[in-house]
Amino acid sequence: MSAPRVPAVDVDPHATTPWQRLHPLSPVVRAGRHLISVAVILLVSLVQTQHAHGDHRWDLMVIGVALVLGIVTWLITRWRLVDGVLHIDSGLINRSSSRYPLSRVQAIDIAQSGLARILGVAELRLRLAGSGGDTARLACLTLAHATRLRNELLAIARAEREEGAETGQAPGSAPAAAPGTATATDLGTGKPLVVTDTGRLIVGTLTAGVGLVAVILGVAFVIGLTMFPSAAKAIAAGGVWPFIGFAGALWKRFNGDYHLTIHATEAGFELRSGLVQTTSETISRDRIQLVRLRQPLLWRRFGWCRVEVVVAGGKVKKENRAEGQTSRPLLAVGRLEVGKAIIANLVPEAPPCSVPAPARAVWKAPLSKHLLAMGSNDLYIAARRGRLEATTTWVSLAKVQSIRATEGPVQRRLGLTTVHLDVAGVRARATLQDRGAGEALELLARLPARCTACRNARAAIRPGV
Amino acid sequence: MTSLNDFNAGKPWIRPSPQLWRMRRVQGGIVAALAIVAAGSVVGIHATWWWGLAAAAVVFGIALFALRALRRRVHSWQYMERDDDLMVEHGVLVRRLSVVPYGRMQFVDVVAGPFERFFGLSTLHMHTAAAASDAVIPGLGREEAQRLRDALSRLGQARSAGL
Repeated sequence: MSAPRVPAVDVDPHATTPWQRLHPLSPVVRAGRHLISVAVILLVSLVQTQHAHGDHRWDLMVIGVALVLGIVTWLITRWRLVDGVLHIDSGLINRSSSRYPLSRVQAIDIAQSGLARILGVAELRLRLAGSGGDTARLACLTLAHATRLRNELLAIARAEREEGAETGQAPGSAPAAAPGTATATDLGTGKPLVVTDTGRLIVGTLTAGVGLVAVILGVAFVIGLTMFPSAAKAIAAGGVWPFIGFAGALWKRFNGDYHLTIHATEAGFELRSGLVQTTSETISRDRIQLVRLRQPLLWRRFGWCRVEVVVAGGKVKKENRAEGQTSRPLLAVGRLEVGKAIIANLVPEAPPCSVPAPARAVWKAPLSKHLLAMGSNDLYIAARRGRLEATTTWVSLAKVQSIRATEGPVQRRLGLTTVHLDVAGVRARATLQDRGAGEALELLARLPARCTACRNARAAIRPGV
Repeated sequence: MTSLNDFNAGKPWIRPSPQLWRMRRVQGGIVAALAIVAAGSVVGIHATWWWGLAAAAVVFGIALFALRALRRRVHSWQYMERDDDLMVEHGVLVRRLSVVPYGRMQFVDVVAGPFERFFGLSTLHMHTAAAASDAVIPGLGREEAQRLRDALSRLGQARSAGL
């Protein structure tokens, strides 16, 4: 973390900004998260043991403790804005006092859980640049306040950054110059690029991945129930837990993709989605590490696809869907032409996967050989792999963090090598699976220099990025 | 048939200190001795003493084989400091080669556990923003590890680039 810039003489009116509290309803919203999980557990225990009544005092107590803790947390959490630096003080046992310089803000998201929407409050999340991928959160503010504050913070952040770029200006003089003017471009107000169709999303969710497995298991379940009515009770009892697991996973996916709307903004994209829990976040083009096109088996029949981007930002707390994973869908389920248009927008002159893996790769990967292919041009590498689901990945050579090659015993026998191009993230990479060994050696010899050249060219255009 | 071993990077590979194999041998020997004693005594108590002896002999045979495999693995580590990147290669059954550009390095750390300290060794980790690319070189002599760490962090600073 770079030290926040503090003016030498304290003349800024913002320096005396009083501390502010979060919305008084925030403990309720925070406890609401536990409430849902407790409700699910209660429901299941009710279904499974119908006669064991009366002992829900423990569950109520858990809710009570969570509520009290929430209230205490609310009482001791306060925030203020001073000179383009957001101060947040919180913590009961580990007292923490954090300073978030707005010049380092990468994006500001607004998230609302279902309960928060009912109560009209929202959570504000500031993603900061840095190796840790820090996130500052203000949970919760009223929605109007959160939106206003977001615009204000974004304006300050931009002013700080410009000031940092121009230099010469006295630090601390520019913040909050014009909070109202610069915001229109940051919030996607125009016509959206893509809006996800709900019908297609439902069909798509049930015909790929977890959804397909759930559907198959559900059908098997119903058949089992009708064929062996005598064992119905045992089957029902055994089926409840997996069913809840699947339902949870499907719901998360469905809610995350529901009515996913993409707006183009000045710096990148604004994503809005959610049925019950809604999120709104901005992704700048600079943060996009790789672009992925997914085509599950059945979707290929329908001519559908999914486009995801992986965004920079390291380990973040897994408390909420939007943060836990670093990949974001830009197209949840859509027609292939739309997907291709989005990819063309993100990866200009995207190289097609035109070079298939050598024919002998079929002995090592019989199920995926038909999909293995790669393509490249001066700036990008494309890699396709997968068994049932075809996954094509595009990586900018300027973003490659490291290049790795692996060669297992079977591959060595066949003269095959797999080359990985890693980008920032946990499992973010393009994998050129089962290339011919000679070709792989050539790639290993050439790629590092090409990556360096791309990186330097990019650094020359945008210094400091 | 061409393979990763044929990769010609233009410079000679550097191998970790011979002390690494000595350390691994001691570690493997301790584990093997424990396994032999455990197998021998358990079988010996439950059956008769010659069965125990036979079990110990079988485990001893396995341990010899495992130590040979371990030796090949230890000797498979090699690295190379090139002009713009560090290369690390290791593995016998699955051969792995990584190329990490100096400019992508976020930080370097040198770790030495109690065993390694006793043998005068250190392990060097190179971290980038990609979790998968973290290159590791085990069994470096203390001076070599320090030299490499300083050289890498200097080069990393000189060629650093953002995400």
